[in-house]
Amino acid sequence: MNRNTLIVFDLETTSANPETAEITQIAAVAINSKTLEIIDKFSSYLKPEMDLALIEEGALAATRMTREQIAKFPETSVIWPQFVAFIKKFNYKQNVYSAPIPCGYNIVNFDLPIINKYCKRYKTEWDDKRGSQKLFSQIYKMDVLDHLWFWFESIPDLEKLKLTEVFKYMGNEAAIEQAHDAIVDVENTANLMIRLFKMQRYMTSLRADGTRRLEMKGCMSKKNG
Amino acid sequence: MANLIFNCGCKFEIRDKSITNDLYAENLHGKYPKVVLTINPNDPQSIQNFKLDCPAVWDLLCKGDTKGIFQLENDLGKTWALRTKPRSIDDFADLISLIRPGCLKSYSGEPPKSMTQRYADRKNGLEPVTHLHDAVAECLEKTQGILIFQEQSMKIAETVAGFNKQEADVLRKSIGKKKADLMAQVEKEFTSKAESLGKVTLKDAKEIFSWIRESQKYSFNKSHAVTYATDGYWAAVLKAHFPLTFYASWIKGAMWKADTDEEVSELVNDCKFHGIDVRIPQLYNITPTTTIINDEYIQFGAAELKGIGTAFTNIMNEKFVNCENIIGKARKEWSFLEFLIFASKEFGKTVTETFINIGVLDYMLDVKSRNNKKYCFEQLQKLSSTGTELEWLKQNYHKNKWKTLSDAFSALQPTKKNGGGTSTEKRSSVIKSLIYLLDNPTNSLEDTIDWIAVQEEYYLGTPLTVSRVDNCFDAVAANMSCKEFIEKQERMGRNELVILAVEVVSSDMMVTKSGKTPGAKMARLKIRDSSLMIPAVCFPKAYSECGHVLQEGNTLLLMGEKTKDGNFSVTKAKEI
Repeated sequence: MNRNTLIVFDLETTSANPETAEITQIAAVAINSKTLEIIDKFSSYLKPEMDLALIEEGALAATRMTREQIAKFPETSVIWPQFVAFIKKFNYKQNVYSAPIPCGYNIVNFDLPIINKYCKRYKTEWDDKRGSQKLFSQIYKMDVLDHLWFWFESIPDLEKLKLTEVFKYMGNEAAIEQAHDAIVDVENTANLMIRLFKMQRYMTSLRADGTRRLEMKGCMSKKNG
Repeated sequence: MANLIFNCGCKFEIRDKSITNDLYAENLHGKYPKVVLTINPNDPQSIQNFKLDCPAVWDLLCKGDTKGIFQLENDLGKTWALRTKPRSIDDFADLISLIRPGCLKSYSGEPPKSMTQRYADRKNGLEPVTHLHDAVAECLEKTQGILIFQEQSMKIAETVAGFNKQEADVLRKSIGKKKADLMAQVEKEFTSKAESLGKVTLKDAKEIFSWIRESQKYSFNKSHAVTYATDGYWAAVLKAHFPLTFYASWIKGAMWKADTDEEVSELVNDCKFHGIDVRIPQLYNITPTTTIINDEYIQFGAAELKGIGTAFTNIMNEKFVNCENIIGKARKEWSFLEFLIFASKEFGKTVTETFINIGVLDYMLDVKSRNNKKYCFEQLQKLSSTGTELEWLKQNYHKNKWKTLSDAFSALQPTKKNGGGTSTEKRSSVIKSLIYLLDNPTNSLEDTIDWIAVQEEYYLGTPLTVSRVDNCFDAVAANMSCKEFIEKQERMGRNELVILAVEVVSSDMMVTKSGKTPGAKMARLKIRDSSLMIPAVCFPKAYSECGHVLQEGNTLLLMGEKTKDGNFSVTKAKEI
């Protein structure tokens, strides 16, 4: 099976609209997909290349930053290549098939389009032929939002799939207090993802008698209905 | 003149410790005895005057230790050297001929056996030596009664049919060139003359000729085989007596092989098996190509590191001297900061990255880990592309003697107007960001075992100093290393439990054609830990249970036992 590294990442930005948003903080955590251990972390602030007066108030409130603080952050042109180098470190064979798998909460609609935009703008790991980034795997991705819906859609006492609601339901109160700091969000999301993986692996693991707890093989054959 | 005398009785003269005629002589640090083997009948050291009977050489081949030995390098050569145990040039020539496809695929007898297996069984006394016919016994007695060589067919034709040398040569050509019409003509002559000579009946003559005709498919030319065997013998002489020279030469030549990485991996593995130390160079003692240091160990050269070519190695020493003059110190005393400021641009990005990633700069302890050095180099790369900022650092280094790159950038950061080295406010802001990065690293800068193993495999072709399995906590459950498994072979009982913690280097699944379960899946593997890489096999019963984890790159605990061939047979496997 695929053993590419999983990278859980989160971006704090200047806007909720991915088309106009610029990054103010990147955090990422690398997970060994075999052992499900966190093997490395990345975290940095960035000063966006824009008029800071145009940063949405909602974004500032959510991230608890001020424009004055953001003005002192290091330049994006310096930090972005560093993030790219960090991700590339986990592409062991340096090809599209061994690129790390991007993971995170709502990354399909928000974070990945911004990654695409930055790869194109700074000409880093940009696939001209496909018109997309090749920093991360172009084949696999894991949007935790989709997986939460899959796991919890039949549970009536969890009405909303906001991360804070899920953490509250699963008993991780500390995660709720520290929300919207990128590195903390990412570590909490990573731990949640690891929990889901472990549950899946337990369900498909072998019992002492050699049979699987949940046997997928042949489960759709006519014999098994 | 001194002599080198070995336990096997071989004696070599040390003629001159200094090397004068070697292309690489000027670039070598240190000197070591050069083995001089000439072809000169007047020279007692000459190849022609050496006897082909060194017991150390034959011991090597009988153990299947055939890496680097002409004609026996691959697994086939190794396996059949182990089984046939050659102890003479004739034996060696037989072996070379018998491992060709024709002999391996030529089955006869009941139960059917390949010619190669039959030869091995007869040589080992497992089967009586019988002859095709009493009349040909003398012609085939040296090859266990088996027709291997075209020359033997010639001898049979002379003995049985009274052919003269010329007629026998026509027979040889018809065999060698596989000419059916010529063969038919020769057959007619053979049977007619044999009948006349009367040593055999016409019926026997026809049968004997049918065996000669059959031998077209597999027989080899003995003069070729003996030449190859002699070449192989001389390679084995070097391996047995001068292993450092042997392996250093092979590693240098690995770049000419189709799969350089595989070749280097096998050579380094062989070195480990023989207890020969192979090391990564440091900047202060690096040589253009692989060399021997102090007659003690082999050291990779710059040319054997991926990404470094002759464009650099040809002028490497010149660059070293220039930088040493500018810095005012020998390379052994450079700090990493001095390397970064004065040498990294001279060497270029690719060479610098290679040196950092593979550990050539490990001795520079002002920046400890390789990833930290890499991180610092990444920030240095972000200085202005015009080179003016780096130049400013060079000019101001000796005056200020900065301890860290952050200190150097802090001095550079203000604009020139304000006493620094940047030309604009924008550049000043960029340098400020770089200082932030250096003081607040974005990620861990530790060198993990996995990372080191990946770098060594990429740049050298094989992990050298670590194994990925070293990183696995459950590896402690292993009861021996791969090298211990090989060393304990002879003392080990057949059913003794062996547990190894390994990485799977390669895994070839195949389908059995015969045996207890024809058509079942099994696998041949190469597995390694930090001590050695060894072959392994997983037979069908075990494969059905654990075959799915026997994949390249996986780190596993393998439970198994020794096979009769001395290989490791997997009975159970668990991912770790």
